[in-house]
Amino acid sequence: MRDKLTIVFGLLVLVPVILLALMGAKVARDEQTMVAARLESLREDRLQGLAVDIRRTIELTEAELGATLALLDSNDAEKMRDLVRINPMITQVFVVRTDGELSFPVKEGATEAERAFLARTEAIWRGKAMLADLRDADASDRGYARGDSISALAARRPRGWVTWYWEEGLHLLHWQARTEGGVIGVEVDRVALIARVIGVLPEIDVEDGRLVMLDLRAEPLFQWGRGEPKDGEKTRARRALDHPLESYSLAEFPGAGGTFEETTQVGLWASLIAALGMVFALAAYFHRERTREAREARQKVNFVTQVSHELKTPLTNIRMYAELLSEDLEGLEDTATPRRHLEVIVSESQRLSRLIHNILTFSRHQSDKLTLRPTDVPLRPLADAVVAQFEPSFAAKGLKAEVSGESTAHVDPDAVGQILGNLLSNVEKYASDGHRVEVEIKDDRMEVRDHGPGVPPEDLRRIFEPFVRLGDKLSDGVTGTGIGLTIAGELARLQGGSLDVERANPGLRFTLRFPKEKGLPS
Amino acid sequence: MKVLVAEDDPNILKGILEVLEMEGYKPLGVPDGQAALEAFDREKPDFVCLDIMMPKVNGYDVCKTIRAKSGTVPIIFLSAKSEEIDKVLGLELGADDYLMKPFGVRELTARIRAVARRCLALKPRAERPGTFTLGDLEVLPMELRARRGSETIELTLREVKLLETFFANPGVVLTRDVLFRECWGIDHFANSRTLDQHVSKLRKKIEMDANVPMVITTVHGAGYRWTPPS
Repeated sequence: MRDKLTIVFGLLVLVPVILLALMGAKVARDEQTMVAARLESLREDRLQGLAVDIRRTIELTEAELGATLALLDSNDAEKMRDLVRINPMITQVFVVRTDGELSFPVKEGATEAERAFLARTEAIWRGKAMLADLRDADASDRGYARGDSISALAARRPRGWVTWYWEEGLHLLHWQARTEGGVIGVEVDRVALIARVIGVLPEIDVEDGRLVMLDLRAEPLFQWGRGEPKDGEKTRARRALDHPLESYSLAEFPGAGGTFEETTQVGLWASLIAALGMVFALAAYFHRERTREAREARQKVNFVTQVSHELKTPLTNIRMYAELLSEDLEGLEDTATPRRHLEVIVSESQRLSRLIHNILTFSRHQSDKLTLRPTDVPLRPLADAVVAQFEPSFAAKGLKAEVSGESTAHVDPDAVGQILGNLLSNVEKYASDGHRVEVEIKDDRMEVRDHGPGVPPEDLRRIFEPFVRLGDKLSDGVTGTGIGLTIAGELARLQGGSLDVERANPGLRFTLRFPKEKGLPS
Repeated sequence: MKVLVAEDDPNILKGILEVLEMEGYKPLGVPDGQAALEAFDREKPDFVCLDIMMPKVNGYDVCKTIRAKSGTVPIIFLSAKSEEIDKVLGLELGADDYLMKPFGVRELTARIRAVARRCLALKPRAERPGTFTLGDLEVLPMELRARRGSETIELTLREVKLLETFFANPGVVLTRDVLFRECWGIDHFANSRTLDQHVSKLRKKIEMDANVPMVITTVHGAGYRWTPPS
């Protein structure tokens, strides 16, 4: 029983806690997902803002270059070389004729820088490079086309960028169509352009982690925040820059504290573990308290049991020797007085025996140790024996008991004896005024009818409750533990029968019903 | 009929021995389990009464040992331990009955009589006492009962022995000495009041009117006599 209570108690505590924890975890996870989505959106917005700033800087540079080129005489090689010298953004000026051939610079008379330019752009002029102006391409045509030339691009747009990779990295050509035909353009110094871009980027406070602009090889060009790169680190957000710097990207890396998701996961688990720890600590506390209370209750029951057992030995002697003394008086004259005295001793020792028996039965019932051993019992001898015990005390009170009928029932004889003893004890205490008590054995039941004052109808059911003493004249001045009828009812129920009471006018009729067993007379 | 009683409380032991003696048995009392085992081997009792909580060897172990030696000798447990488990354990160990303390003389004698009937039934057929009649009283020694018409009368072993003695000596005045010798044994030194008490109790059971006895009559100054109906 105690194990069952522990399991039920554990379930009562654990089930709601687990449900709450699951619900809490789900809510926290949803909240975490929502916050993560919001943060991701904010990060994307931030990267998008930076990308827009960079694009505007490029567009501004593009406009400045356009204005410079518009004023430049494309037939004057020296002026074009001067432009390269005075404009740090420009490393080379080039001019393409309407037939697509490069008119400046050309090998003949070229400076060393111009020869280097021709070398690194040879693929472009020979039509071997894959060129495309991404701003011309529609969504379904994002690829580069081999063989496209700057002249071909110029047929579709007035200006544009061509990017290609040579040796140390990205190279950028900005071109625009000439009014007289052909194309004029410049090679933009990548470092100067990037420096200009970085120069206009806003200050960003990256509290945790770092925000980095990366080149094609993922080498950092610029960084916001003080975080250090780590091996195998993953980005929280990444965005490629717009044309012509599409091979560059902006990336955000988490700091030493981990990603937001990792941080919140750790927090969630820590909260759950803490909650579980508290629940287990609470459960352990309650379990310990309950165990202590159970142990104390057991000690009390054991004490009652032990004391009751210890009372039995002297009581056996009192009863047995009183009865032996009574036997000794047989045949002697003038023994009426000592006989009466002995009957009181015997009667009281029997009452004490019933009391001890009731206390032990009650304590066993309280500790769920009360079990019965039913067997086929002839009821008449059993009833006669119990009634015989009461004869002296009944006689002293002018009560006469009559037993009638006979039957056999499948019951525990000790339990039936105890039930009948308790019922007769009640008659002796409360209904001796009726002067009669009848014990009638029928097929499936035993009835005990007294002719006393009875019990008011509203109190009939209460008389089976433990420790209930009806507060009226009936129980005034009468001693008792208040457990006799409770035990009688429980014993009847435990052997599969019942004990009922009804008003008989006058008096009460208790009906002890026996369980029906196959093979016994019904 | 020999009865071995093992009980550590000396007063209870004396009381039980007295009751058994009164009932007509030959009781032997011992104060602990070890003495019970020794007495069992030595005296070969017809049945055994055992307390459970005893010094040296407890009642359960005594029961087990006796059961291992004899599968038929009846054993009654007498104990204050009324827990159901004690009852079950006692019966599973081979005890025949279980009497809970505190018990009165009536309960004790009723249980002992039930066991004695089983002992009598275990005797060889040739040794079993036969039924006889004293007038309208039919005596059934094997059942320790007598019958008059539909009325059943419970008798003690001693009372059966007394009735057997009267039946064996119809019309003969039996002196107290003869009755003591026949019913109590030759070496018993009971006083005459003991016999008178037994006869008085027996008359209350078997006579139609104990004040006017018809079965066992008193021969003043000599003894008692049963006169068969002519």
